[in-house]
Amino acid sequence: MKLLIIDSQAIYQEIVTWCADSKGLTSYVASDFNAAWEAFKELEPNIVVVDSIIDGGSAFELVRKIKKESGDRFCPVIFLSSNLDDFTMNNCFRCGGDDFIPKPFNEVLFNTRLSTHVKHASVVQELYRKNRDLTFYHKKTEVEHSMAKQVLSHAQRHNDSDDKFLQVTRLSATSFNGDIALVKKRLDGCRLVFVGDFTGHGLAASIGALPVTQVFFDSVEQQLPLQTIVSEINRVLYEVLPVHMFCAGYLLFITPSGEVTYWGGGMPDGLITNGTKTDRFSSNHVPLGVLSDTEFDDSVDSFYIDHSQTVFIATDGANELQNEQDVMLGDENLERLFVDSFNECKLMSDAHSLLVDKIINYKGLKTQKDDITLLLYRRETFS
Amino acid sequence: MSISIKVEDESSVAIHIQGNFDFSLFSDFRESYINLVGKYSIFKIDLSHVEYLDSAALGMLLSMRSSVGDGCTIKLCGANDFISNILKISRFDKLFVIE
Repeated sequence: MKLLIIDSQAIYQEIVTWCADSKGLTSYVASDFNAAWEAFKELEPNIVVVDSIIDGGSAFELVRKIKKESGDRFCPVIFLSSNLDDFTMNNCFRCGGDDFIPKPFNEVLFNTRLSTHVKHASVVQELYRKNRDLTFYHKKTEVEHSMAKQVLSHAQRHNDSDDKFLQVTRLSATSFNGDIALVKKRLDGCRLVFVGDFTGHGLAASIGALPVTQVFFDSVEQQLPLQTIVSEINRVLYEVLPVHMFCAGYLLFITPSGEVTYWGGGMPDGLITNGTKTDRFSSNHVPLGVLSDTEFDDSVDSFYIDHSQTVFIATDGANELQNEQDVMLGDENLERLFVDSFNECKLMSDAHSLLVDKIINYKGLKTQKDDITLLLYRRETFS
Repeated sequence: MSISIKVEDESSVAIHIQGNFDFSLFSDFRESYINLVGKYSIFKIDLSHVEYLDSAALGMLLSMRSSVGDGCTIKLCGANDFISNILKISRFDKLFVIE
C-alpha cells in the first residue's frame, strides 16, 4: 500500500513517514500543490495525508481534484491542520476529506488513526478485487452458457421440424438449464419423441445431451424397440454423467393409428384431453442416468388416443414457473391453461401459441428460472 | 448456518437443512456428511424446514447415497407437499427411505 504525505513542515513529514514505514506502507513526500498533484497521478496512492495549508495552491482544491481523479478507486484523505476553527474543519470534510487530525500531534495518535484507515482501505481493496473476480466469472459463465447452447442446438440439427400434428416450444431461462427435445418420424410414419430435462447448468448439461442425441438418432435409423433405446440412453448417461447429475424424461413411440408407448422417469404427469375430459399419464421411473444397467427398469406403458384428443407434455419449468408474487403456476393451473387453450382454438398450432402466451402472461415481469419445454401432439389425419 | 448435524444415537445421525435446498448448498451439504461416512449406518435428512428443493438437490442426495455406501440407510424426513411430490415423481422412494 502507498501513502502520499503533502506537508511543508519537515517534522510532520518525518512522523507520518515513520508511522507509514512501521506499518509496511511505502510513503512518498510532496511539499507543494503541483508536486502533490503530479505525485498523486503518477503513484496512485492508497492513502493521502495533507495539511490544510500548502504552498502553491489550495489544499481543499487539491483534495477535490484527488477525489475526482480517484473516481471509483477508494482513497481516504486525512487532513492535518493547525487551524481548528469550525470553518476550516468544515472545508476539510466538504472537499472530500475523510478524517481530520489537529496539529500538533504525536506519532501515537497518528498511528492509531492511520491503522483504522489502512484497515478500511484494505477491506475496500479486497471488496473491489472480489467484485472484479465476480464480474469476470459471470462473463465467463455467460460465454460458456452460450457455447453450451450452440453445442446443444447443433446436436439437435437432425430434429424434425414442427408439423401440424407435433409441435415443440422451448422457453429458455436466462440461466441456461438444459432441456432437450428430440423428434423423429420414421419412414413407416411412426414417431419417436424424447423430452428431457437435465440437472445441472450450462456446459455440464449439454455434455449429457450429446450422447443422448446420438443414441436417439442412431436408434431411429435402426428401428430399435423403445425399451432398447431407453436402456441405452440410461446406460450412456450412467457412464458419462457424475453421480449428482441425471436426466428426467419421456421417451414416446407413437404409431399413426394412435398407439402411444412410453417410458417416463422423473417428469411431471403428461396430459391427454379432448376438451371435456382430461386424462393423465405418469412417469413411473427413476430418472435416466441414476441406476446402473442391471438396476434399470425398462418397463413401458401405453395408451391410445383418438382424433379428438391432444397430448401435452411439459418439463417442470412450466408448473414451477413463478409469477410476480413468487407463486408457482402449479400442476392444476397448467392443466387448466392447456385445456382452455385447446377449447378456444380449432387448430392445434393456434392452441399451442395461445398456451405459450398464457404461460408467458402468468410469469409477467418475473424472471424465468428454469427452461420450459412444451410438446403437443395430435393424431394425424389422412385426407 | 443452514445445515446442522445432530447425533441421535450411536448408529444414527440427523442432518437438518433450513431454507432452500438447491445448488447453493452443493459444497456445504457434502461437507456435512463426508466426515460421518463409516461412523453411522442411518443418515436422517430432516427436510421439515426446507421450503423448496430443486433437481440439483436431488443430485446431491444421489451423490450422498453413493458416498455412504450400500450398507447405510438414508431417510428423508418431514418433506412438505411440494417436496414430497418431487420425490414421488423422481421415484426416490426406490432409492431412499421416505418418512
